[in-house]
Amino acid sequence: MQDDGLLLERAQAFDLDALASIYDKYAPPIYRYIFRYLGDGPLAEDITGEVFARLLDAIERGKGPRDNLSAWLYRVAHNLAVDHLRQRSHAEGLPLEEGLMAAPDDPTAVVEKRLAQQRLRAAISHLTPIQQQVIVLKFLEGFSNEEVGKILGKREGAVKSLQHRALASLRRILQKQEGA
Amino acid sequence: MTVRGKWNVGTQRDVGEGSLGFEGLLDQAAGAVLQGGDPAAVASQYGEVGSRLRPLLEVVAQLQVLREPPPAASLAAARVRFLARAQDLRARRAARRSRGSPGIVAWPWLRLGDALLRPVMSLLLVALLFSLVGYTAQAASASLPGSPLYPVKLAVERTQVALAADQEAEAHLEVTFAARRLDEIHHLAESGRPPDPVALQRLERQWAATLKAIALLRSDRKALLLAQTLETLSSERESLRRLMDRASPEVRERLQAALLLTEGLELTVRKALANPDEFRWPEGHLPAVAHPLPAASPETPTPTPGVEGPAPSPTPEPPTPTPTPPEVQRPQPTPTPPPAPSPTATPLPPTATPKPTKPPKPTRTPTATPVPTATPTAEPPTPTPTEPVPAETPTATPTPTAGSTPQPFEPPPPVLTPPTPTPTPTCTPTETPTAEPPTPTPTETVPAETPTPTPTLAADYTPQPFEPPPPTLTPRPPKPPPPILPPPPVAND
Repeated sequence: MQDDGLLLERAQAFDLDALASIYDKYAPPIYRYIFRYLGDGPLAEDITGEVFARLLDAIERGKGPRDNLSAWLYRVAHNLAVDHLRQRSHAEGLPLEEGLMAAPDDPTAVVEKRLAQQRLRAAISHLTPIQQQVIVLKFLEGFSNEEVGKILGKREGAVKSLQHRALASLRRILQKQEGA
Repeated sequence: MTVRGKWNVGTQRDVGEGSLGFEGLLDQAAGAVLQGGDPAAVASQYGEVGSRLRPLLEVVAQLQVLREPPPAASLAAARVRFLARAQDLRARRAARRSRGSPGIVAWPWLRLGDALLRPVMSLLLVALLFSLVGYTAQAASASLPGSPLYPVKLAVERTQVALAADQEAEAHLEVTFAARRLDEIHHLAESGRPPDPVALQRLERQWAATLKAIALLRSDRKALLLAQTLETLSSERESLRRLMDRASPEVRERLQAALLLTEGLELTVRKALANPDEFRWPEGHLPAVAHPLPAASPETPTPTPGVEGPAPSPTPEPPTPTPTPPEVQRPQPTPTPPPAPSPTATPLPPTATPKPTKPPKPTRTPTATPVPTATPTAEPPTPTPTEPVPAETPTATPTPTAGSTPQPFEPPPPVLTPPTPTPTPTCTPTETPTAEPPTPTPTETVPAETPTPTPTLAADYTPQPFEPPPPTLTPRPPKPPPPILPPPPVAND
């Protein structure tokens, strides 16, 4: 697999091979990231397509990523996901229905799981944007502190602090939810 | 990109926060939970810190419910669309290059330009805006009354005055602008357009503001500016006269009003120069304005020629003869404004009647015919009715050939009006004026004028500026007494 810098340089000239490599390398993790944040497969697919369309537009305008391609893609993906989350106004029924159809054997377990997921996603949505990104990248996607730091443009120490504050905030939010 | 596998589950021992700090320990413990460790068990390995870690580790464990693999996505179809769009964009870029119109992307160095473009464009726009404003102001500076840009010119002038550094600078500006008002009237007349009454009123207002500004200065500065003003007025008066010689009757009428005003101002300033310390400017109108007409006649007799001569001289002195003293007092008593009107109208017509059989000449004729002035005095009654519309008065008077003369007065109504009073009395006592005390009678007819009688115009002007100018003004409104002008011509004659 080629270095991101090299791929990016070729992509600036609309080299189709380079662009294909970029897509193959980043589309799956970006899709997964969006799905885990939103819990909606089709929507995650659409947003993933939008992320790469924006990459082409940015290159066309001469404003694409300069050096950190992954950071640029995750940032755009997160922003688009947050926008959709706001617009959707938590249409939480859809994922639940999908889950029930996918696991007809144990609908109760599926419902409980979906409810837990919805509750967690709702809690995550109350965090600050960067805390949300740390939670998803570190605890859902499993990136190392160094990788998270690259994507967020932070040092590892800062990532650890963010992670601590994000978990503490999330705990408080979940406690409030339970209390309510 | 590596994922996971960086934590050792169950190998942690009881460790204090030590070198890692709580955030480092949390990072370690969370890694163990992500790899399947039980939050409680992992936390217990951290001793006292474990109790603080546990609730956070439980949150990490809860989050794992979101780690389910996403449903299979048709990313392949999206990939095809992505590459097709990329190909399309590449083709467009190639087309742009072949047309020789490279976009910003085609010229990497232009990216820098793009970053600089906005601020540069902003500066250019601001510069353009300023230059447009400057150009408009410049264009307006040459505009004349009636031009669309003329209000801009006046606004720029007012702004300059408002921004003047001090009282003296303001006075200098006012003098400049006052001379400019006269120049505008010149230009209008030269182009065959009669200055409208509004322009004449503006001229009067400007001079009032000018003298007022001068009056507020220290005596030494005051004298300097008064001398400068006198010089300006003298030269303007001369050029106005020259202009009148070749102007059409209609234009001449208006010019005569301006001339009267200028002459009255000149006398006022000359008087003020005699004793700058005592020069005060009362709030309100120009005293001189009220007397323009009369002023003309008085001068004629005494210093007709001198008017021009002395005027230019920078340090003119109180040339005005004797009349000065008596006059000063007169104005005060005259305060009664109402009567003024009627007399005003009356006097004018007669004056004209005397000579001017023809429109153009009337102006002059009257001047020369100072003597007739007396005659008019008697006549006044006739025109009285016509007061409101001087134009008519003349018509009536026409018989005496003065028909044309009266007209000139109509236009300058505001400015000239004042002179009216003068006429009546003037006639009889042109010289005796000083003694005129008896004025009472006339005063009634034309209160304001009462004073005027004696000292032809000279007297009127001189005094007014200094003290009771206000009263004089009141009466003016009635009408313009063009006849008074005639005097100057007399000199010429």
